[in-house]
Amino acid sequence: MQTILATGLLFTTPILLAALGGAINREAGIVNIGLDGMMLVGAFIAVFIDWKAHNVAVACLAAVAAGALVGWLFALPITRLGANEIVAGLGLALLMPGLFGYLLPIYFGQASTFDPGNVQALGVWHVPLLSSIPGLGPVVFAQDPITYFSWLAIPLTWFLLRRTVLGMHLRAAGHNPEFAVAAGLPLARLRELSTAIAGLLAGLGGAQLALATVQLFNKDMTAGRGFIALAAFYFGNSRPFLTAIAAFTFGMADALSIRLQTAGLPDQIPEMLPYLAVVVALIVVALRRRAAAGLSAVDAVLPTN
Amino acid sequence: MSGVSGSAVDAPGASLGDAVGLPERRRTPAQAARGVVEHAARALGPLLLTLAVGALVLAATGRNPVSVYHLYLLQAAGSWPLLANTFSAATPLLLTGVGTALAFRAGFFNVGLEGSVYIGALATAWVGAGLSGVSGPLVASGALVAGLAAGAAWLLLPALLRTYLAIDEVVTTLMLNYVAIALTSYIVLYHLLYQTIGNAQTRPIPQSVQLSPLVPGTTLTVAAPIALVLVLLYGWFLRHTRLGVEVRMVGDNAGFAAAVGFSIRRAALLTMLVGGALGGLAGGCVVLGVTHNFTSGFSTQPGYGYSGIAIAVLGRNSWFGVLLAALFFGGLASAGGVIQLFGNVPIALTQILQGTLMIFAGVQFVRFHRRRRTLARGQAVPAMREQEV
Repeated sequence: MQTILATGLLFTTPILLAALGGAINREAGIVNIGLDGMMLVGAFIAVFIDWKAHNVAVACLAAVAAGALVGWLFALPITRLGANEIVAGLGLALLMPGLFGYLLPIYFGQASTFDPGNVQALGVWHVPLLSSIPGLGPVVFAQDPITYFSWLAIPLTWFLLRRTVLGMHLRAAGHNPEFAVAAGLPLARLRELSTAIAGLLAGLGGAQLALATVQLFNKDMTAGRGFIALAAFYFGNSRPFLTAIAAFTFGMADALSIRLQTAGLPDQIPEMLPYLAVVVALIVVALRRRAAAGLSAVDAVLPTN
Repeated sequence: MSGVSGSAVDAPGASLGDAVGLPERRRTPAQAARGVVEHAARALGPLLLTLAVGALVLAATGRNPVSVYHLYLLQAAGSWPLLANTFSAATPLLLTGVGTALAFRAGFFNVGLEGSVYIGALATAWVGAGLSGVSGPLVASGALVAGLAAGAAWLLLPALLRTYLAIDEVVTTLMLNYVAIALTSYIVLYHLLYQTIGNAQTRPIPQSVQLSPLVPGTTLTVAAPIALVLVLLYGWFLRHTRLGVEVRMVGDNAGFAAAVGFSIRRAALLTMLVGGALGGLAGGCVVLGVTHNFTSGFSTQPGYGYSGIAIAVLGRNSWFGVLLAALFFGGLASAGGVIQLFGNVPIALTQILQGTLMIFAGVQFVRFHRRRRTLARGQAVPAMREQEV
């Protein structure tokens, strides 16, 4: 049980970071399906810079910068040229593994894995006092620094969106674009900024994925975590705390599915869970909304969400 | 209602169409040609951008873009068998492209055909390998119908949720894709397993049930002309049937369409379910014509259904645009494998081009009179916004 919790927390981090980024992005009006690609960039840059600079902190910063850059670049066709965000997001999630699948054989003679060795791991920080709580303490409070940051990012995301002027502007851009434009807000730039933030967080998630346990890069290592993050922020309706709970649940399901797999049981069931959970959550929300509106039937003209 | 012939729509249909800016029903050849040119011009921007990005990647890594693109062209269309392979690769994409375009045209962002492809393929493989003692072509037809029905059934839930609870179909259809991939893989592994070569596979389709190649040595089967006819039928349906007018009206201005008595609900159900059926058929055609079994995860990067989305967007939901875009994607896919062999270029270049093309698929350099379609929160499709009217 304790090992499942430890693994679950470890698996939660990249999903949580990308999901918080996706939530900010969605609040600003862009549904980001390309998180997986941004995470992958973060993972590669983290390993590459760590290998070159022998400094794990520099590597993480580089991953963050690369993620933000890719996020910003990704937003441009959507905000400036009218590209469709859903199709573009799927495209980015396809493009990034393709790019590494192209570059790795050329520069490192490897088909899909980049394992230079001599890469510094993230390391584990034991929180004083808390980590000595009997039982859960040594499991919960002995994490890598990015995981601690991901926990911190939950209230920070809430604070950014709800208590800062920038957050208000971002939400205006997403919830009421006509108003945002009328109020003179730079709609496109706000959306680009939010996508860069999403890229930044997803990139950091990628760095954790690559440096916390394995210290290597594989072009398929995100294994759809960006899409699970998408499910998480949809499940959480872009609210940071609910999103975090969803991310944790999906991280635990991920840990459980590995356990089931080694036990020879079908791991496809927990694999489906995040996606089914979103559909169920949407149905519950819609039914509650309908009950609240006191409607016995929805008439032919459908209400907007 | 659906049985009403084209001429009966003439008077009210055409005038209503004019009121909401629909193209006129009867176009002169010159107008039709201009429409085709306009579509081609719209699709050209994304294509050129993609080729430019690809050229940049090639040049930056010391490859000659011109010779690599030339090799692509040769491998996709350099000879009759190669061209047949391109058409074969384009066949499922024609079906998913047109199935996606149909819902898009009605303003419903159905991105769930990837799921329908998997479910339909499994249903076809199950029926195709399971029936015995009946004539081959009969089993093949039955298997394809099973795939079609299963593909439609898979999208029934999101279609109903869209129509009766106003739940955003983008999210539900996207999420159900991943469920379908995991679900089919579970069913194959635990209930229909025949062998595992890399991935779990079902029992092979008997020779008599397989679709046989039209061109020997290729995988071009009767599925290709069927897909082509369905694409043409889509163009005819939109333009010459009452339901088609309804679909276009709901897509252009749902509030107005509802006000004049068209049913948004019917348009949503029709386009999403028929789209799912076409996805299921695409999966079934691949099973009967190419793979001859169901292999879990067979719809590999970028996936027939996901390619279909890009094709619909790139082709701007027109039958001709879908046709061209599907052929382009088909050519990329069929030539892609050979590039590494002859060009000293990693095979992943194809994935780069496909991904870039998807990113730029909806890009417009010249803005044609239509409103910009952004996807704000909860307003997944432009039609939804207008439904507040």
